Amino acid sequence: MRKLIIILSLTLVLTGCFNYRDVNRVVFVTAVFIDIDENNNPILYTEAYKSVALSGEAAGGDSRILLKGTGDTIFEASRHLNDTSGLKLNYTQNKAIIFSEKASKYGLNEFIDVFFRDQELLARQFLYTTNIDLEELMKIELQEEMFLGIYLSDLTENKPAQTRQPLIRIDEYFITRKLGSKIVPISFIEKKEGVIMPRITTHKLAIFNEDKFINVLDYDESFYYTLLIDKLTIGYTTVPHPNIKDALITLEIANTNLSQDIKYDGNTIYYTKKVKLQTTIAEVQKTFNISYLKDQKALEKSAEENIKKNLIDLYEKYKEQDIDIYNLQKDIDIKYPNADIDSDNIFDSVNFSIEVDVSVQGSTDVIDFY
Amino acid sequence: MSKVSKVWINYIKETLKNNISIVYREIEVKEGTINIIFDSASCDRVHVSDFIISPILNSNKHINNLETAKKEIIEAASIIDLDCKEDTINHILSGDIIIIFDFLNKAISCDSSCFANRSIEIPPTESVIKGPRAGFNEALADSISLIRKRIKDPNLKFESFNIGEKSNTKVILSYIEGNCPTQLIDYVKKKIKNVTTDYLIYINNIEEELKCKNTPFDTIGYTEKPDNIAIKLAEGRIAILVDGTPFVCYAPYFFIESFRTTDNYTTNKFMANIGSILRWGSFLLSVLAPGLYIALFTHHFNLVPYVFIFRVSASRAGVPFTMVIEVIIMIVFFQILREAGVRLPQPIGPTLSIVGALILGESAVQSGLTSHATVLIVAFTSIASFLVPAISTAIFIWNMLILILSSLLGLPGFYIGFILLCSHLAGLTSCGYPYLYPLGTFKDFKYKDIILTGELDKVNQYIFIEEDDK
Repeated sequence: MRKLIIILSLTLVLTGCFNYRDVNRVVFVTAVFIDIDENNNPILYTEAYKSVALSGEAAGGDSRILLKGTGDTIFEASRHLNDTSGLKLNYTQNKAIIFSEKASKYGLNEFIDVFFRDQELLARQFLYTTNIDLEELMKIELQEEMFLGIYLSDLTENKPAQTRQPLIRIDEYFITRKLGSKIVPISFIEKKEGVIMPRITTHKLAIFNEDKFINVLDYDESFYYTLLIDKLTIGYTTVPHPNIKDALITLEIANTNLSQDIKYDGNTIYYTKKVKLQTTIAEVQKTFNISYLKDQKALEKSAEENIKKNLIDLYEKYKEQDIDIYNLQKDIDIKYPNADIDSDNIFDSVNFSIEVDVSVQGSTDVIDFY
Repeated sequence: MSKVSKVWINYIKETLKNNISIVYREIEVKEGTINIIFDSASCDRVHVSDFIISPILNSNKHINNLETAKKEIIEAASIIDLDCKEDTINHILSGDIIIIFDFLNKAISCDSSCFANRSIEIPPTESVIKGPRAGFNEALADSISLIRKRIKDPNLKFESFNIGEKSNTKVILSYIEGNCPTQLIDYVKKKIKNVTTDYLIYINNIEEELKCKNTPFDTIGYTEKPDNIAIKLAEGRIAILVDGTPFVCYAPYFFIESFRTTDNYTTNKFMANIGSILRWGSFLLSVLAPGLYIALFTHHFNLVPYVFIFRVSASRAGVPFTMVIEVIIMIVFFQILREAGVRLPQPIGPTLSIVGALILGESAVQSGLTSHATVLIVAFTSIASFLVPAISTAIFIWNMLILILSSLLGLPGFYIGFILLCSHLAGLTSCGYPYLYPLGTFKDFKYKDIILTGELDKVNQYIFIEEDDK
């Protein structure tokens, strides 16, 4: 009995204070929105879940609560949020941290520390940035999901939607923001244009350099960027028909394999990215006979040239702005940590090339099954 | 009447006065008077008339000595000479007939007992799908007969003890010499002799003496089925039969046996093994589920997917009690239902259980006193515990303990509860053998069916004797 009392006492000491809290006596935050005011002080919004008792019903219902708080720091703002909430806010179910464009340009390092430091906030939250006014974004009513945070979380698990976005979780961000040229891509939320009901999408990428938002990649650039940083799981690419002018062929990517070859001769770094794609024919305009080896090779060559051109174009576009978009610096630092190159002007010392190898392995009507 | 006979008869009359069933019968023969005394409630009266009284009256032989009477006249199966008058009382109350030969100054006792007994029936507590259905009844002779029918081994022993100062209840110790370790036999005998009670009515007095103290786990096994006892005896265990009790207890009893049924060895082994896995799973579930539920939904929201968190939160909206009180109320509620189902007459019990589970459960949710999730957890836990009835009491007590620890400390409390349970189990013994045996040992235990049953011919029967010793 004495041993039991000692064990229980030790456990009380080790586990800290009594932390019992009923699940229905808590407001669960599902998304956090961060903006800044004219003095660059943070404005914190939260979208939260609260269960409510319904009269005459055995089970209660769901309610969505939107709260706003301000302060000198995010922590202070979060405490001010609690001032207007009847029950304590709980961040264990938070799915998304969304920064306004203004806050993103100001710099994420001003706000993000508390999200990693506080134990209640988990490492599995995804980061987003948006050009939509945050209050307007919170007011968008999605038909299938009441909570924007959960909708975004579902969207990240929707594989076809992921093809043009890397999934950056807060823990991953904290690592990559310090590596190499400190370029980090974050999913970009924008309104979907030309749709019947208001929709939002995350098919573009916002590029951050040293925690500051610099630019948004367009739809195609996002795809090629994702492909080159080896984040692509599934996707497709459309290439010109090798035999028929103005016709297109869509190739569905079944598998990707990325490797890099880095060599240093004392003066120059020779950096080669090797992209291997296994694809199947998803759609053909006009006609195409895969049985003809010559046609197949022509198609593969066409795809390779198309992909290579886009990858190089993206690299060159940002090279002109002195931005190492593919974060070559990171791989070079790993392989040649003592290489005598100017990290502020990496492009003078790096000879970058891309090799693309596309193989067309058949047709989707043979490979797919339902 | 001789002086000796008079003293004996007066002693019996004085001791057994106010007993309507005691019959005193005098028979006159050529040599003198014979007094016959028996308890009509526990004797076979036809047997007394046809095989005791009638042969004496119709005999032409002279009863010059006791041997003539015993060997040539009385037709009883068993005759015992009585040397002192005090012995007569026990014999009369045991259903024997006392015959006092006035002219010889001698007395004998003849077996003619015929107690009211239940016939051999299917035991209600241990139903089987396939396998022997006979169950023990309250008669020792029948029980011994049922065991002997299955094991015709001369080494099968039935040793008798009389326990209970006043009830003089017969207790039989059964074992197979050679299979059962002698130290086990000595240990059980010593323990049985330690039982000090005036009236031994139930077998529990002996069980209490043998089992571990301060634990809700039964460290002594019991069964109503003779085939089970036959297997246990063959394995080298010791069985204890008590007159008037249809349950036979045996020792040592191991924890893993709680998960075994006769069907493990008699039905399709694949299905039987699925049943075993279900019973093990149910045990863990019924002990741990309420504690884990409380720990996760009151301390560790971060470990639960949002879908569950939101559903449970919505389900509990408006419930006035905290979750731990709500769970305890529902557990007590289910225990009340269970108790009522057991106590009520057979036809009403199941009806009440269904009414209780369906209507009262739903009403409790509708009235806002509890949530669907809690009802589901508690109901599932309670039903799961019924899969292992041998330890259902222990399950109830330990799931409450783990529940309380979890509500106080969250998952650390839950882990502590589970570790305490494991250490408690590891600390128990059954007649000197570890209760958890063979779990927790690397020794090649002779059980080959610890959790799953394989080939039956590879399941070693002698669990205490090494192969080399056989």
